[in-house]
Amino acid sequence: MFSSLKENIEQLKAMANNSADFTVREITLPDEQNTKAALITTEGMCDKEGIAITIITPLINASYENIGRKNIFDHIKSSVLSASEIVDVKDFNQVMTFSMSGFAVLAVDGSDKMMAIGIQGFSFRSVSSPETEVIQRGPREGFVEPLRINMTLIRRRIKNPDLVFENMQAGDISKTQMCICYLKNSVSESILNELRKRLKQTTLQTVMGAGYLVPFLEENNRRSLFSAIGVTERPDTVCGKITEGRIAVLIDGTPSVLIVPHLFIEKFQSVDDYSNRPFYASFTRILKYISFIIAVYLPGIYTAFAAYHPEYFPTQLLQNIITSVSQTPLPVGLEVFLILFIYEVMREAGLRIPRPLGHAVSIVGALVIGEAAVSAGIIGAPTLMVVAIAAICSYVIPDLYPAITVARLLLILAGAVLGLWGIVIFSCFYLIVMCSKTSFGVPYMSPITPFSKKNMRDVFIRSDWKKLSKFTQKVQNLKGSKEIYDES
Amino acid sequence: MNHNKISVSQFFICMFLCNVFLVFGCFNTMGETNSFFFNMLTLVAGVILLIVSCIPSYLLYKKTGKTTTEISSEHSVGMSLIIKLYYLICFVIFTSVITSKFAVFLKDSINHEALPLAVIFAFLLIAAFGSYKGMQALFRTAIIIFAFAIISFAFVFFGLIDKLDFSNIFSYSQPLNVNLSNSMQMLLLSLIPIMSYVVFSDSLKGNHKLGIFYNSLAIFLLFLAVSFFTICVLGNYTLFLEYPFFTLSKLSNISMLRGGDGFVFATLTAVTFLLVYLFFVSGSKTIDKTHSKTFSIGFFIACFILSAVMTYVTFVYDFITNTLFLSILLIIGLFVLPLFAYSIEKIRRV
Repeated sequence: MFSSLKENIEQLKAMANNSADFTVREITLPDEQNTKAALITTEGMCDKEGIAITIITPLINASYENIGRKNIFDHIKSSVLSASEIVDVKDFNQVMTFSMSGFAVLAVDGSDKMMAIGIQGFSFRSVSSPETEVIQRGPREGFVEPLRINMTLIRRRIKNPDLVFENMQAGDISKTQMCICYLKNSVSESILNELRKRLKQTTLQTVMGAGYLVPFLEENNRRSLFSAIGVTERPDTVCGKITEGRIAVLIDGTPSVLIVPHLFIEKFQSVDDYSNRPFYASFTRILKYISFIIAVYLPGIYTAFAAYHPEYFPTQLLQNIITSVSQTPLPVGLEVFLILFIYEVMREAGLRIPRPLGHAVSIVGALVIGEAAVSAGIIGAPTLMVVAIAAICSYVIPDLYPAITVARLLLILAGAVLGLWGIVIFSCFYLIVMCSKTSFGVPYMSPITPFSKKNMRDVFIRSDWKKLSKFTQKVQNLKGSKEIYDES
Repeated sequence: MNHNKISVSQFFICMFLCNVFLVFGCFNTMGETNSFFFNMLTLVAGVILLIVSCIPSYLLYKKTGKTTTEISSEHSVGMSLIIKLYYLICFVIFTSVITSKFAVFLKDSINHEALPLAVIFAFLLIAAFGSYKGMQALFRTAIIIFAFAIISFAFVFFGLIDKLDFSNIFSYSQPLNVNLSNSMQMLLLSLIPIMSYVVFSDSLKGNHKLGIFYNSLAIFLLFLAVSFFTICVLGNYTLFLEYPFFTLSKLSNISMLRGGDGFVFATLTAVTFLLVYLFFVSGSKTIDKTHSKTFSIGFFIACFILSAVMTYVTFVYDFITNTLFLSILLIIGLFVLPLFAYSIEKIRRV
């Protein structure tokens, strides 16, 4: 940096390419030499009232008697400004980063460094209940877009010095701020180092959401349908996870927080499970597992039975299905596939179009598909019912919806081509994929396989809090976990 | 933590599944026309045979801390090559036998439109993929299949309590020598998966001895339960059915659990696949090529060619599936080679 304010400002303006939101407010200090200063901000990122009260007014009204030109910078920093967060900045890139993060950067003529003053004041959505993780009982707070507020939401729940936030940056162009959050005494050092390494190795230009980073954090079977990286918008969920030795990755600009390591069974756990009584929590947990199996397998098994093994249907049902299949023009496999395809189209349309029009889509779907198509003999009523049940069941575990949708289509294909045998062999294939998958060295299917009786207390049955509180199982100590990252 | 180690319980759950379904599923040798009492005696003998067949490899590892292939590698390159090749050939043959038998069974009993070669191809391809993923995936997959097997059998068994008829417990519907011959075949074939124990004995952590015992006991109890239900519920009805698995699955058709045989068939398919997968992984472990894509592809090609030949050339099929031939392969692999390796090691130490 130069010691001349003029040169510094010219350099910064050149770096900002004279962007319209890059603002420089020049100030003349009331000292003996009438020293020039400049406040560099990014339009809309700072709190204007805060700037006036905590920076400009003190600067103009302060006394600079007997302060030499050399000491004026330190004097302003220590005795003039009333801002709580002031950081010294010594290169132009840092100035640009701070300025674009909502800091006001103060440059003083004659000084070869500047100071970044924390005065962020951009507008953001207020803390509200997350729409993607609806609960009946429990806190209604969800993460929001600004990173600092999300950090506060976690800190408020864990008032412990062991809770550590570590700043990082990703995206060569976007320079997105990230923060990894963990409990010092609970976390595995090797997993933490591996996470740092993977985050540093991201080759992204921009990071606009949590999903951008997921492929860089997964270690094997990246093309698998099931993700080994957890995503949540709930601070209470994050706090619960980090006490078990997990690490949260908070990303500026998104309310979604990534959690690693993440296991398959976690998809079936929700905050409500821990608020409700154990018997009901266990019931809903089992309900979720059964719904998952129905959502994935029902259309495929129906196709296989109807096409190759009709003898497996109960006699009464068999008669109805034979009548239905004989009256429709399409083979059963194609019929199931077609209904599912139309259902997915309608679902996607319902999601994307404006809300008032969503009702119209529902009416058209219910009338055209549900009523007219069956009456016209294009599709059979049993097939429609099978697809409808599978569709409803898939909403019980929203986290798994994408995986269920694709797996279901593949199973329909396997059932239509190879019958029940095809479904079993496809399932075996996918079991291998899931059983070989790990999340930061922890087996993805743990504690079901490798089986650990001790850790089954919160899988299918949710034990009561007296039992759960006896010990906290650290994720890195689960059976089959490996310390493969020690060398790094 | 050494990640090449697997727990004894995981290994023996896999062994248990492979053993039981090999007999009930693909080989028509279970004496379903025997009395329950006779089957029980045979099974006691089978359990003893199962334990005895594990002893050479168990003792070899306990005394020397090495497996048969490790000792041969230390002795000479030529011997190592021969012994490893022998085990590899055994695994290729066993894999081909299992897949061919299953393909024939599927075509004859379940889906007459099934193409045997397509069935074999799919089985082998997925097992090759699994072999590339490594042995941990195999034993983890086995636990889920084990859970599924328990659910499906509980489903069938407990729906049949009201159909029991104890009059067949002591009756013999076939001559004693036929019963004996059937039982002997069943016992010998149930040893096929144990061949993997020779390869995996160095990877097991925990108490091997009890693992072998519990596995044998579990197999005994399941055989006993199936035999009991087959004989006491169905009696002579079993004579009309070609496959013993079908006997079991058809149990559900005379009860209120109609359609439950789909469960049994699914379990059978999954476990037959598990057995094929076990041989793939055993093969890769024999020559220390776990997670090797080249090995998986090579093993897949060898098995597929042999299975294809077996499907179309009856002479080859009859020769390879001959009980005597398979028994000789087993005896050499389970008893002769481990004892030979032990004697070499002993001489070398002296």
